[in-house]
Amino acid sequence: MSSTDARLVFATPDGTGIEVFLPDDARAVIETALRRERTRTHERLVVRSRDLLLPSGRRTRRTDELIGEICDEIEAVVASTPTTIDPTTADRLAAALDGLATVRAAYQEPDADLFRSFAAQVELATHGLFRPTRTAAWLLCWPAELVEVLDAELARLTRAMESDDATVARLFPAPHLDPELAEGWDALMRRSLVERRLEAIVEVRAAVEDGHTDEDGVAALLRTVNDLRLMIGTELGISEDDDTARRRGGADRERVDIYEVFGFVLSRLLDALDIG
Amino acid sequence: MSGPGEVSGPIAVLDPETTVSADRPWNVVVWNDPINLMQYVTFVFKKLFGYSESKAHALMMDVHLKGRAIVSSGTRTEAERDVFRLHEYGLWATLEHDE
Repeated sequence: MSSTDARLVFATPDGTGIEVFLPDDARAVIETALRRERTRTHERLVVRSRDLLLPSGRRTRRTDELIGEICDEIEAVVASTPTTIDPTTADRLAAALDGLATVRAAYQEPDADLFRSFAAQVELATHGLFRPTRTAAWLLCWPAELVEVLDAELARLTRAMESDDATVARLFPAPHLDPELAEGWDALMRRSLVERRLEAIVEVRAAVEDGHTDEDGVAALLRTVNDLRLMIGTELGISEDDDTARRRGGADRERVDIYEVFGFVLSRLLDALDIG
Repeated sequence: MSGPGEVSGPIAVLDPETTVSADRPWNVVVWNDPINLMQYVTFVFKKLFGYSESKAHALMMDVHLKGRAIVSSGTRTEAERDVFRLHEYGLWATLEHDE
């Protein structure tokens, strides 16, 4: 596993912790977003704090410095991605997040929202670096960008199944090579398969929103992410000898990227299940 | 799962062979496809059939290299149940009467 990978999905019931990693690009996206957000937020907070916290107009640098220190600390820990969390690093991160909580609590409107949003993003990105709790069977901590993509694709999958679209044909293959024998099956089994898939989608949405799930939820996640790959792969016309998928441009390029990200997520889930 | 119990009635009527060759087992065949990850297929075989890592991997490689593999055998009801479960996991599976 490359040393620049960062965590994605996580825990076993005994709390030993499964490290599942984001691809480098996804990590880079998160770090860039954090840096941009931090710079923008920090600048605005610095400017506003002079007015809000120092109504007398006398400038003190303490709050600005504190925010800066916290941001630096968190960025340093996010960037370090150790494969295990040593106590010193864990303490530093805990202290940095405590500091964030303190400063966040002290801010009043309108900047509080801004800072809370930033703090929430940082906490989301860094949460996976902590050891998982022993109360949840599986902890999920997906970056917002990935959740957005998942949400959109789940909506497409639902619509496609409900309208019997050709892109989901692969989800309902014929059980017999003989079409006559397959026909009886189709009428009865297809409805069951659609229902079970719709139930799995509900379970997946809840798991990602709650940030934790159980073994059944993980199985639903696995099947559903695979269904998404099947749908998008069919849409793209992926075939055994098809190398051209990766070379596609335009609108297809984005679909190929999503297809590959889901492949990565699936692979990482499988790694976690294997270890667990 | 209630599916197989409900399915076997109507399909048994459609397939006259069932009544004359009930002692021949039914095989569940998984077919190769260009989308499913090999790692995923192996996992599904382990999860659904309780196969060891090496057996599941060997079956997956058969599917991958030969285009198909028989992954389980049993009564018609059992085979239909297995096909349903494999379809639920996105694999292409069919059932066939043993030769």
